[in-house]
Amino acid sequence: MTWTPEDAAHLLRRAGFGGTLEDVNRLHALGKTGAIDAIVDYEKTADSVWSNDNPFGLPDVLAEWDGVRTALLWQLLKSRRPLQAKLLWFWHGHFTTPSSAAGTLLFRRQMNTWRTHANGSFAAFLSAVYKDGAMLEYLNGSYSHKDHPNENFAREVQELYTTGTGPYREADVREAARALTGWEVTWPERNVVFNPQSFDTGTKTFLGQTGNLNGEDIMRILAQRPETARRTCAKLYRAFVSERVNLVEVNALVKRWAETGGNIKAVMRALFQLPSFWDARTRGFLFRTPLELILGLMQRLRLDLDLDRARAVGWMSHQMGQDPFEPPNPAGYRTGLRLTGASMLLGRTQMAENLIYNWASPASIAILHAGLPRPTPPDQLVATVAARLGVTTLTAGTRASIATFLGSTPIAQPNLEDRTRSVAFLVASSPEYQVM
Amino acid sequence: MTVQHNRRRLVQAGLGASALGAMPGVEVMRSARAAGPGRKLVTIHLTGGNDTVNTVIPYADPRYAAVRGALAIPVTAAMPKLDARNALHPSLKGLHALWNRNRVAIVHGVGYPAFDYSHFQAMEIYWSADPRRTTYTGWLGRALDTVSGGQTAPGVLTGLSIGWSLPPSLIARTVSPPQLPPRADGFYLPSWGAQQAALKSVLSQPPTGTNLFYDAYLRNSHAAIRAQDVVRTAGALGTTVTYPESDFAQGLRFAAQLLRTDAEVRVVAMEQGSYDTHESQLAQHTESLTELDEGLRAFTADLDLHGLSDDVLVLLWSEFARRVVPNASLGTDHGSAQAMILIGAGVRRGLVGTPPTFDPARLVDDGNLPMQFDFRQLYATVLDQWLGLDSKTVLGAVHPHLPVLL
Repeated sequence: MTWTPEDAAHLLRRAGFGGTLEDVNRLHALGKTGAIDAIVDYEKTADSVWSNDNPFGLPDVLAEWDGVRTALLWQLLKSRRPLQAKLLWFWHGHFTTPSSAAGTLLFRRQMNTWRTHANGSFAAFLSAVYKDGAMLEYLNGSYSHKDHPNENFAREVQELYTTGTGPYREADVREAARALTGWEVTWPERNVVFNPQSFDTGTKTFLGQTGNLNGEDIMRILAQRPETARRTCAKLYRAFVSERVNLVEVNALVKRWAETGGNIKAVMRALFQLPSFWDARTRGFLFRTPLELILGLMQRLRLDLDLDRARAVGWMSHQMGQDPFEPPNPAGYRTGLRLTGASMLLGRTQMAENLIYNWASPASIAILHAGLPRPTPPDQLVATVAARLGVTTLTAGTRASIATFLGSTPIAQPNLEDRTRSVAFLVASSPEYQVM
Repeated sequence: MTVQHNRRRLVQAGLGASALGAMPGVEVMRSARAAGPGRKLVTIHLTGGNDTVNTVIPYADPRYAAVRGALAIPVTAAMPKLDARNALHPSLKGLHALWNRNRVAIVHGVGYPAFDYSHFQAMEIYWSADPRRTTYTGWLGRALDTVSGGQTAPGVLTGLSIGWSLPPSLIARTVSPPQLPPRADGFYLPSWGAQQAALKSVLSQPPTGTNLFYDAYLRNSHAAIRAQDVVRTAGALGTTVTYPESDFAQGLRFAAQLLRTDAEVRVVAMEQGSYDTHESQLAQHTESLTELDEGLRAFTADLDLHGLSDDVLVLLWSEFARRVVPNASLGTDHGSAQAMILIGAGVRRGLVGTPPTFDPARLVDDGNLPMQFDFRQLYATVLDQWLGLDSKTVLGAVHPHLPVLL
């Protein structure tokens, strides 16, 4: 099969937030295998954004209630490693903690930890998760005591983070809770410490294994369960390939997981080679989440982010049904059809209007019409703007609606920027732009 | 209690209640209050699992304080008491005033067989009213499907949600109940003139039948466009009642505006909270219940002011109640059967079922409250006796009613 610029754009939308047209061309030049390797082996790409935790120069980024959140939005937008940014966002939605649940310091630490583990060993990741300060605060592991242990994390780590419902019973939840006692987040240092005095040293039986189990044992047992491999691979599939799960392909990912002891990078490399990932019939079966939509449009139009805009990104995303870094519950962000509320969808068109009319400079708009003949035939403008925004085929309805609005007269140079904004706004509001 | 609207005492003999509006001349007396099109249901999901033992408190039970320990609500003279044995949480002053006006019914022990302690599975069961979870539709959505056969005129709203969550209880086969924001002013189609007309045209193309996301986007964008006029009219309505500034209370304010504007609205679904009090429960529970109570106090006053209190029934539900015995973090873990609360002029005031027990021998699943009533009994009661719909069609089976409505 041929490898087209559209394929490279597709890879960047899924493995990242979409990137610029130059990013697409650069990736295309590498060929398919080279492009996948460049995406997956992202450590080889220099990226300074992650060492800049205070891009807006706040006097004290941790003292500002949204200092960490806004910095993270900047990092996701600016990272030169699309997959690292996307995986950080994915894992933040999986092993999830709202930034407000634990304070800015613990949340910043958690995001650094999650990023470190984002493409490594799932077992090592899980081992970091259960003793992460923000997670201990959010799911009440901190100060859980052998007398009446707290069950919150013990349940959610099974139901949401690893096996899913099925293997465990209520007794397993209670036994895991006993094994997870003893951890404390100190005040005011916010350090995670283990206090043997409050740890339950008794014998526990968890998923059929018996002993004086501790948190490390529980995580090891869960990481090794086949349900964990299957459920995590299926979740990656639904996030990166399609909401229509192909079981044969998920099995291929599970096999890779088993071969590598749960190595996330190996699974991702296999995922980007699945036939369905590239199949034209599978494209368009991911509903772009609000943040994917906003950051994707910003990257493509090369829109910059200052503190005010970062806050506006949070607000626009909220109007679209998703508060960045404030997931609604331990299951993480809502996706797919649960993001299609009437008001949420109006929020999408409002966002498109704001970015294209208020944020995009003439230079940004020129990205969409550069090189077109002057005067510009309307149909050529529509096809070009749509393609440069990432929509290769508009529906007949969208094309007809825009064509009626533009009329058939070629567009003179003085009107081109204005008409381009109109077309971009209408394309970004179309159903075909909401999917990828 | 007085009944202000004669029309609502009546229902058409022998015909479906939905025909009432079309044939007002042939109504006959049925009972003091009859179900039908004028009746509206507002459901409020107390998210996270509400600790109903500390919401409706069996304060006279000596084991309550012993078992609840530091989480026991102190028994005081000022406690909002329901009777000699039961009281409301001290923050629920507004609810207590409604109880004193005969407007509150409480059903203890609501649950379902083979209880699930997962938030997400329990929610799905309450949303769908299907413990086997074989359908993607919600019980309220299916109810709306039966209103006028689901075929509503353009611009007519029969159901809606307010808030950012898109409650799956409203997922229907034939109608698309719009999700609205807590405040009317965020709900607008951008742009203007010919460009806005082009936008409307883009959003009004027929569904593709091939991509479910295209189609959901088009269907719900279209629902948004259809709802715009009602929202604009509703948002302009003033009230002398002062609502708190929380999204929840503002959402109730918007709900009252919508109910005043559009007589066809039958169902409004909302969420409030979080009640997932695994830790430091006393403060968090008080905060959530206070927000709930203050919002409801303003809402019911607003309905009274505009003559709607006879028409609106509020149902408070959660995905589960919490464990009877607290954990070490001064919180409670996931529990089972809950007390559901109905509010409105149409309720039969009282406590249905037995208050929570603290007798270890009567607890189930190592410390949880036993179920007394299947939640579908309450749903069936509301569907048949309040909304005038057919609960067998909506729920797929007949469930015995509960004595909660007049």
